Amino acid sequence: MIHPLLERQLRRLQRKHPDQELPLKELLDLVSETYQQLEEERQKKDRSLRLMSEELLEMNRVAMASQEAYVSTLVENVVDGVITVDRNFRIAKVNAAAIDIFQAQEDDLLRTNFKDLFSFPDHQSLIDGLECELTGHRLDGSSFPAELSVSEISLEERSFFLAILRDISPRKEAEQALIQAKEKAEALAQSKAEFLSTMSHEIRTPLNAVIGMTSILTDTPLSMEQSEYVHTIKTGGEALLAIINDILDFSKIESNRLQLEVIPFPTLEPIEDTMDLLAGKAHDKSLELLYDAAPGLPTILHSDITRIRQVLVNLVGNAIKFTEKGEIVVRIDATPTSQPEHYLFTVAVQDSGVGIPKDRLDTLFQAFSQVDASISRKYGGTGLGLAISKGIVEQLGGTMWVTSEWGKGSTFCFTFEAKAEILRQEADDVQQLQGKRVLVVDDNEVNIQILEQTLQRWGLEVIAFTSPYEALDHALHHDDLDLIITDGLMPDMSGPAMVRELRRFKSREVLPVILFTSGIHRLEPGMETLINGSLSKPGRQHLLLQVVMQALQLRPVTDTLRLPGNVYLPLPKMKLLLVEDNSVNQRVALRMLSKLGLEADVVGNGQEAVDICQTIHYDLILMDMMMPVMDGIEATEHIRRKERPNGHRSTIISMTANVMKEDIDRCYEAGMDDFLSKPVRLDKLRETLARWMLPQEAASQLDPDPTTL
Amino acid sequence: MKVTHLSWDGSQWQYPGAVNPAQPQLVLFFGGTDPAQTSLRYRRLASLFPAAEILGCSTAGEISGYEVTEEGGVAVALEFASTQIRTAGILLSGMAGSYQAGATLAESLRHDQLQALFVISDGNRVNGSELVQGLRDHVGESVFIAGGLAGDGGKFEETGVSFNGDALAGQIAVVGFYGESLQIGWGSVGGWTPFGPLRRITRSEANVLYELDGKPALGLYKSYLGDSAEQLPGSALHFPIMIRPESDQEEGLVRTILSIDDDKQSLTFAGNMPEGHTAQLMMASYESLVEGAAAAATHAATAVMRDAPGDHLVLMISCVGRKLVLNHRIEEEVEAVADLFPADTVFAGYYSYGEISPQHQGFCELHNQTMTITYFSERS
Repeated sequence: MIHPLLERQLRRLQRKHPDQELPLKELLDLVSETYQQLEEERQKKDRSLRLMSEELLEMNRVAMASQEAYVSTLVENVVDGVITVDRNFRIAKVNAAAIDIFQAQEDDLLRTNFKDLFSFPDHQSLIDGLECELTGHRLDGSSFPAELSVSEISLEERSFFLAILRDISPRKEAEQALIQAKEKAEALAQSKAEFLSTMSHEIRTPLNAVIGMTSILTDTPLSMEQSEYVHTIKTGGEALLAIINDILDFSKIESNRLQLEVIPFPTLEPIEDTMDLLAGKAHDKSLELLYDAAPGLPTILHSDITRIRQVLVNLVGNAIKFTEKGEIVVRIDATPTSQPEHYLFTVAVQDSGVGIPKDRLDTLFQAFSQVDASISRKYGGTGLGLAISKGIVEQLGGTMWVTSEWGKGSTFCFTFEAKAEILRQEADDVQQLQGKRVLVVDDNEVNIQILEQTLQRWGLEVIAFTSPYEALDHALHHDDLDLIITDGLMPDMSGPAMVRELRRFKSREVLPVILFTSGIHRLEPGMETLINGSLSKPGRQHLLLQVVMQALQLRPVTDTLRLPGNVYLPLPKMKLLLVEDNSVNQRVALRMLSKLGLEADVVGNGQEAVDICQTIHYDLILMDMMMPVMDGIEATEHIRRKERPNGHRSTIISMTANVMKEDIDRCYEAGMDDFLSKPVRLDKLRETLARWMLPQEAASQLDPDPTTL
Repeated sequence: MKVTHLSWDGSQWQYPGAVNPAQPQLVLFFGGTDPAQTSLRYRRLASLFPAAEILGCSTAGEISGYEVTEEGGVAVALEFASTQIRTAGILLSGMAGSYQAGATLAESLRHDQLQALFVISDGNRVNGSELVQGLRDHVGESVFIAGGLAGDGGKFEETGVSFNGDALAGQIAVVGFYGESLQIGWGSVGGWTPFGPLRRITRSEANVLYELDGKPALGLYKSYLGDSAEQLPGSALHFPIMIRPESDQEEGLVRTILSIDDDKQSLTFAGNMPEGHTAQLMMASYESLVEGAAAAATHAATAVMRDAPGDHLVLMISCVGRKLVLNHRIEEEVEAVADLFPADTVFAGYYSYGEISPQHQGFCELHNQTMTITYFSERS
């Protein structure tokens, strides 16, 4: 294979001398010339290669120097201190910020061992990923709070630590200032709360005396006119007291001093108490007051019944205030939480009232806010109720919200989390009701719906009518009915009228009837002989269950939830004092007493009790245990100390959630005579009052197991 | 198309091949290293072909058939069957008006039927880059442009262009070809390889380069040339330079040195050297230059054209830098080109200070250090 260059040279010679033989000398000249050129070319390339290498070397050096300058400029300009440390904790490099932080000379720093610059937290040393706050030590012995983060860096077989350092003195100082500001603010809030508490106590003490004396005044002979004045003084005083109580409650919530008292109670108790308390007001406005418990609701709940009741009374009270016609329904539901035996309860209070404009929904739960300034003039109230309720709910671990449409009513909802359980006994009772047929008559469809749900849950078959005529017709023509539950007040024909008609054909034994009575109306004479049981609206589920069981002549398994004893022995008129700090508890207790035909004066804490006892001699004092300012034990001791020997002696009964023996013993030691466990139940209250107020022999006539109607 | 090949014997034009008793419309000639000698060649042609448009220029060497000569001459007389031609010329006094000159020439020849332009320009006073840009911007995208800058035997002092008259410095002559029957093939390849570090043009003015990477550019050249630095600017042709915009990854443009200025430490190139462009030195071996010329020929010699009837003409415009490097072996690149065309093709051309042609399918541009081939034939 001939080289292409030589081939071209040969071709050229042939072209030049087409008819001759190849001229050797000319060829050699060409070849030699080529060698000569190649030699020149080689020299040119050698020189170029050498120069190029030198240039590239120089460029490389410049590039590296500029890269190094770049990096060191970066490091020098970083705000944080940057220190490189070798594996033996020798400092290799420090930047300007590090020198600045240690207020030292660079050379001195480079001579120092890195470990001596810091107090490392326990068992910590230089490790990759270390990030901590620690104390830095300057060479002059002073120290400073520092934040240090360390990363290990491996670079071409070299390994070292890169420590990034920051003097956090300014941050620490700022933190300290914040803490101080917070403490100051808390102290201010504390003194505000204390001021409020003291002031309200100062107001309440004379006010209690005023109210207490008016009740004494009422018992003296008075003209009609005087009687009216006294009544006005009393209601005015009570209104003032209510406002002060609200303010106190609110200030407690604001300063986080609301104490919860967790006790077990029947789940529906606070709702039923609320219904009981407010049924009269609802009835005055011809409003239906109903409640609806979801199926499968736990029967016993561990929470602060007082506070839950307070929220409910507030919400239902508001609903009644702002509703002119229709009904108010309280619904309760519960869902299990991830914690065993714990449930999230949801309670909704729905009314068919005026509703709330959209733009007011946001501010509704703020203190001293009402939908309209005219509202407070028209309906009264401090504007604190919802703020208090929301605060309580939040303390119980829940939330509160409202949905409303202007003109169509509002629904206030709240949740709370609590331990709860389902009692076996109720389930056993319910077992006996399976398959029974019950006819329900009520002109209100919502009532029917709620009742139907409850009864069906217990396994009863329900036939419902809104018309008493149709119900009566059905009852007379069907023999498979086991029970009739009828409303008392219906527009076409009253419950008692229907019962009387029915009894012409079917006796009490053949077809039992339970009659719902509304509010405070008494049964008409003779009616008790026609019916098998009665309940006042709104019905309490556990009472309804017992009445139904009794009507069907079934024996309840449980005896934990009992009906009030059927004892009509009247309690004597006496001077009673209720010492209780929570206003709703006060109302509940007063309501119970009124059911027993009794009235009582009320004060809000032990100190007030001690004060008023100096002017008024009470026959019996119902004393709450846990109260602000002065608790029940201390108040009892004070009252006992001031009673003269052989003088007047009040009976003092404590109301307590703590039923441990040592707690009871403390009550007795302080000078109390008896105790009532919370939540206080009507039958227990009656039993206890009878024990202390009735002559010995009368008290012994009390039915020891008052379970029959 | 009929083509008659003429060569200069020192005082007269000779016919080395077939003499076509033709009425040529166009005569192109290349020869002489200074304008005065070139004028003599023109006058002889003018008396031979009084009716023809005659365009020519001084050179740094002529290509006539397979031969490369110095101080010789080559001419081609063309008689077209149906192609129409028109010519235009302009005389510049300085480099400043190069773009405008291109624009003026393009406007004067512009026509729907215009198919191609062949440009012969002064090689010292005209900025070739801007001239081409001016032509390109005003003649329409579809018009093919080829041609070259005149030379002066490597002295880089004064070149001349003849446009139906004596050769003048600063003159530009253009011939336009009209109609659809002319067939043109083209190829333009250097064969140089960039080497060494990428530099940045840090100071320049139009085609005058002062600094690369902040250092005098002349100093760099002198160090790479070594002993041959004494032969500057001619020896600088060993190291042409490739420039490209910094962001551009496309192949760059090759620039040849025209002159140097020791006082200003500057170099003048046969094209603009914009500041901010990167620059890289180039070099070549003998074999790579010859192979480059062959590659240009391969691109130009399409099969369709090789089969066309009538005479064929190949105009080779090669760079003076190649001649300097290849030296005595310069004819090898001409032979490498000629071997790729039909045997009876007429070969003519010259060594220039700048070649004008499209490259890599792109726009027509001014090139340096290439062998640029324009191949003509005419459909029957």
